[in-house]
Amino acid sequence: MTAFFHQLKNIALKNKNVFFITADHGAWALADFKNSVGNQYLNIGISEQAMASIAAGMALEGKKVFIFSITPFVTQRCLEQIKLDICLSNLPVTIVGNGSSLTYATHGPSHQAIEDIAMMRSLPNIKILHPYDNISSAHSANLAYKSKSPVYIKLDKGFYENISSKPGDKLFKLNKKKQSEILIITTGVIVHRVDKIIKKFDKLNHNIDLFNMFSIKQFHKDLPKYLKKYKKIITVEEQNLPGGIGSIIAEIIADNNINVNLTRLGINDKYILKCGNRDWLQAKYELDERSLYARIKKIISLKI
Amino acid sequence: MNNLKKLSKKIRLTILDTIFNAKTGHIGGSFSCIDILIVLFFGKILLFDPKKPKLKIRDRFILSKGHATAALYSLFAHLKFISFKELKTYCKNNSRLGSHPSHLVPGVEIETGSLGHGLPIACGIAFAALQDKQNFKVFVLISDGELFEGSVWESLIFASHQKLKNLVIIIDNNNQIVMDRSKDVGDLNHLKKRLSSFNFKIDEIDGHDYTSLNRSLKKSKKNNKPTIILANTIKGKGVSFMEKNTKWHHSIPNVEEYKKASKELETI
Repeated sequence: MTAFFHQLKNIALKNKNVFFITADHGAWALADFKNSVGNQYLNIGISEQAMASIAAGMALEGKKVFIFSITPFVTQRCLEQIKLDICLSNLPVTIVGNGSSLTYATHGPSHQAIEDIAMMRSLPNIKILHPYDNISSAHSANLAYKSKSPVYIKLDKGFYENISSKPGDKLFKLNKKKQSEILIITTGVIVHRVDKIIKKFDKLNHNIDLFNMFSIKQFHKDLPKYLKKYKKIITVEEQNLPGGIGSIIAEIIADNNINVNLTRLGINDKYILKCGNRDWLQAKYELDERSLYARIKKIISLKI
Repeated sequence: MNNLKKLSKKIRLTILDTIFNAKTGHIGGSFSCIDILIVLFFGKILLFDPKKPKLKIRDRFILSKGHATAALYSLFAHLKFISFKELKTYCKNNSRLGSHPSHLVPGVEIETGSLGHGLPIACGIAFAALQDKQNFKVFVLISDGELFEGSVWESLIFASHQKLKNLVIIIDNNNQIVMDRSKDVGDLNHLKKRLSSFNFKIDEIDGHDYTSLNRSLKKSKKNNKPTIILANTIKGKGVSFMEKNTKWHHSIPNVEEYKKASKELETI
């Protein structure tokens, strides 16, 4: 998601109080940032715990700090530092995790990030952003820069087509002829796959609406009202199910007494220790296109 | 220095009263570090104004061994950061004075309590200050027990590499952790030698001796390198039956012990 680093470079060029600290994790798009605003760039070495606390100390003195590493290292390794040193004082530090969900499939569970949404959303004050294309990645940099609170950006790797010209929560693919009774809610780059599957169902005259969760902790106040319109909701996430977006929607449904059928599709609380690429691993978790299509087809065929 | 010694008697009594009244708190570690705190705050080492606790040009102080708030807040009452009336609310319902520091309290920069956080936060403040060419110093008080945390060593690498000349690390080296003596768990005996490899200014002193504390802390303000003051202390210092006794990490004196401790402290 090169657009994130490009946008952050533009921000840093305008404001010398913006600092980017990496715990010895690179990204090729980062080279441009380093070359352009090198005195606001720091490789601190492999020390994520100190990095999070140091960022908090700098934020106390008015610096706008972005800390960066592979997702589990910059979220889970230093979770207590994020909680106590950043969230407790509501300091505007941005945690940038590189490699969302199963991105680092071949590297094994140490590098995969399937529990981070559950962990990070449990922290008060933090905002969570999950970009899914270049536009939303650049938008994340802007939102984090403007935020007066901690932000966690769950950044993916690679290139994805822009799915919408307007980034944000409201990616409602509403059927104009007839209100759909089915809504799929998803998050991150798997939205591209879900969008493709929905288009397949469109051809079969099965109208399905889509809500892409870009902001994972802060929702539009009308979201419960919106969910009430549906008979079936399916959540799809490349995350472990406990505490993920399916759990979030279940909480919203329960808290607002919404009468709707909910099915959560995601990683069913297990680790796969064998090695393979992201597509292979997603298939093992039944999150590949074929499996997802079959699972969704089965759910929407069921009479309520 | 004699005035400070007299003051230390009063503040130790305040600490004892505060903990006895609250029926909670960490008395041993409060007594081991209170002399350091007194010289820092009353010995004209730190630049601060209790009426303007957020003054931009102030020296920063972080109590990384956050469990010693009975010492910090007793000191703050004597400094008029807070009132003695408020000090009586220590650990009571709806009080901002808990057994670990809160930034709601004037004079506290940030919450601490989980060990190994204060030093990297201080490093962040010091780094930012150098970027901004600010002249204030950052003092952080850590415990020798805290040296078992990996983040402390991560921070020492950072402070050394970034040449944080405005950073002063004071180690309350009381050689005790919660349940044991430090050296019985992990030998820190050659601490000065180990720390020397980081290319800091290191001063090893008696952490209860006011002349040494004053000299070392004054010197640290002029150092052009990060400074470590290895202050050798005694946990429970001032009360004979508490000194070097692991029971008194966080035990609460009963009435008899309270009277005995008060009597001893009054005759120092």
